Amino acid sequence: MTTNHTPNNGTYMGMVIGGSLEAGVEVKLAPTASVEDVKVGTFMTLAGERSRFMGLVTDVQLRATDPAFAAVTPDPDDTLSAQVMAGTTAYAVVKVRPQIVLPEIAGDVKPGEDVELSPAKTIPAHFSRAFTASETDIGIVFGKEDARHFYVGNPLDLEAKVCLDMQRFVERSSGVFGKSGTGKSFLTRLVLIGMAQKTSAVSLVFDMHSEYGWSGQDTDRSRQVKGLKQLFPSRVAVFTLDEESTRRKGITPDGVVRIGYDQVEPEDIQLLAETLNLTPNAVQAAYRLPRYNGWGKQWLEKFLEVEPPQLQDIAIQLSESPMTIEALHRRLERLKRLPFIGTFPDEQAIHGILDSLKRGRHVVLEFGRYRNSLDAYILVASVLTRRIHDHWTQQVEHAQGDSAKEPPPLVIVIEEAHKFLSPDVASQTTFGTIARELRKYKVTLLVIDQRPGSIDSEVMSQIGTKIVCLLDNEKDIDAALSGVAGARALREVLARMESKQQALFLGHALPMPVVVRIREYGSEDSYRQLLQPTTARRKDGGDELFG
Amino acid sequence: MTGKVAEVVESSSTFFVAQCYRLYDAPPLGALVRAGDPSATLGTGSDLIYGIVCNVATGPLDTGRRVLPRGEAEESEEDLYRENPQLSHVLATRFEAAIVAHSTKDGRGKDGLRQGLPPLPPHVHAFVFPCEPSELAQFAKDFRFLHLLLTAPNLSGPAADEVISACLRALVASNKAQNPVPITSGGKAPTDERALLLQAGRALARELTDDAHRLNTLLRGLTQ
Repeated sequence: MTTNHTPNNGTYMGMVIGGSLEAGVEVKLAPTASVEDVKVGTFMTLAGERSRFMGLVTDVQLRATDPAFAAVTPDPDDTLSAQVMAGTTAYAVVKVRPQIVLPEIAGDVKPGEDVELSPAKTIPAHFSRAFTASETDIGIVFGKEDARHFYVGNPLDLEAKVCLDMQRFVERSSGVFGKSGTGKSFLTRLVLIGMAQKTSAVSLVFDMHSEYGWSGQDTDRSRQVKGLKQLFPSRVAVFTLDEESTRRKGITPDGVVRIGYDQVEPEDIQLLAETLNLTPNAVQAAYRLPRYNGWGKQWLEKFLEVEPPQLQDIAIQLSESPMTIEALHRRLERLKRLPFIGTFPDEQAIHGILDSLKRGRHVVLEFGRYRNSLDAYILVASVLTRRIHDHWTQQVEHAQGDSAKEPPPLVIVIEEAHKFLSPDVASQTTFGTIARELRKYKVTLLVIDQRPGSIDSEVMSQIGTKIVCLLDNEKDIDAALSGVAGARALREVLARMESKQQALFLGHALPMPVVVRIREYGSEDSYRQLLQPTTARRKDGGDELFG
Repeated sequence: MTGKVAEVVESSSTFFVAQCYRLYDAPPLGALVRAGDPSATLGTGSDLIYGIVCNVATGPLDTGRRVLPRGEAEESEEDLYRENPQLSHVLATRFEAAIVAHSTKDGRGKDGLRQGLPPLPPHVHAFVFPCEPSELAQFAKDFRFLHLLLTAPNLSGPAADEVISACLRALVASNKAQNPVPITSGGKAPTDERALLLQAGRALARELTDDAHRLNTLLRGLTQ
């Protein structure tokens, strides 16, 4: 078959012999190509008659033209027979999922140039030739490191760069998923740096384990790595719940967060239902408490002050069972033990955070010694997010489309996201609202979780860009790949990733799914590289056509 | 140039039969032979037709007469033939060749050797020559002829596999002797024995995708 398309220096691997757009095309490997050179998760280009396709290798199979070849095997010493049959009567088939169509004249485009990449809506014909994707091809598809693209790592077996379109990344909610110890925090740190460098978005990070603010741990190399504050001192504000621990590290926090009782709403209690072990009835009772005796916003403070005899009265007034009210009272008392909750006349901390965010500074909230207290994390994240989301919503509505008055896009980063977005609560909390309303009010989520399967499926389907490290639970894999075309094929890719320093990137911010070896982070050299090409931030992406 | 060894006595589209000038002086099984003399004047005789020797037989010239044993009193076979000089005139060695390629007389320069059946079979009385090493090398650039051999009507059963193995072995051996191959045009001529064996093997494998057993037998025959 003749074609005008240059293979761009890829190695000839074989020919398309069948397949479908949905399941991917089958490429029969040429006798000259070794099946062991083909790895799941790498890329191949397919030279069709008019277009060149780029696809992801999703499976490798061994086949024979005649079933008898399995029975009539050559002698082990007969290398000629084995060599002859390999690739002719006994051959390997590689499944390739065509993802995008490369530009017409491949040779004329260099990596980094703006090119039209359209998603593959058809597949190459029979006997189209397949090549390994060359550095140039990968460069054309992923390799633009510019004002909006941030370099995150390299594809398997190649040195070309994979870059994330950060502008698109912050347009929608995104997620980092993976078992514990697969490098979620590491990736998140990198993505946050990219966000700070390439977009005008600001982030609010609920930093449970104090990994992003000043410094973090690289547990594999057991060394400290720089956090956002060290890299971008003027653009990052560190707030803390535990002033002591922050100061111990030698940093002065930009603010200490205190939560007033009057800021806590029944909605927050609902999020805590699981950690506080509350029954659904108790949660319902909490929603009614503000109505009791005109408590209103003071409901939590008043309720915690109540002496047990009065609980009976409350139960009667709210027509709840006394047992429920007693249980609710007993469990909510645990909140009293959290010293950052109390009666505070001003809302200094919240204003401080809002102020920083509006001025374009990223805010990292460290939890210090409360790192293992899930109730503290959920409560603080919930209260602050609601306040800030409300504020952002007001601002956006107030601006009435005048982009000069609008606040910057805000990305809220939460860990243990399934606690906030489980199917039971997602429909009723601020987090669910943010995930569903997309970027209408310029607030999106970056969720970090090891159990994506426990997140509400409606929320998962709204997540634009997914970064998936190794997962092994079936339910979690299904959830992470939900709403992705060809999820079945990607499962194979996902299941075969290494547990460290590799992640499958897919979704809104990339032209096609790609397995990435994450770029190095933590050495002096890596900091230099990260900070060196700081290109001017642009206020707007330029392609807000569909906004 | 090697001299002629036989003459076509029967000819058809897929094979020809040639009778040797000298008793027992037939080319070996699987050898590539040519019917037609390239050095003859252009425009005379037939095209050059190539065949692979697939059956050699010696018997009485007159098929009506039976051959009788004559050596009871002789010491050796040689003595027998010496005592009966008429034998070389009443006996004849014939061989069948499956036609696998052809070329026009001037074709060596232009079209070269083309594998496949010729439009017309060789003339009867065309001279038959063993092929030159250069012809073998040119022939070995392509293994399409295997299809003709594998399906030749006068070639079946175990003999077929032996002929094919012998033919491929001969091509490889000739190639080895010729190394490096003089004809490098096209750049595809394999220069190394193993590469040629592989190429031949793969051509066989392509033909025998549904017959694992036969392929195995043939491949074993290649290296023995």
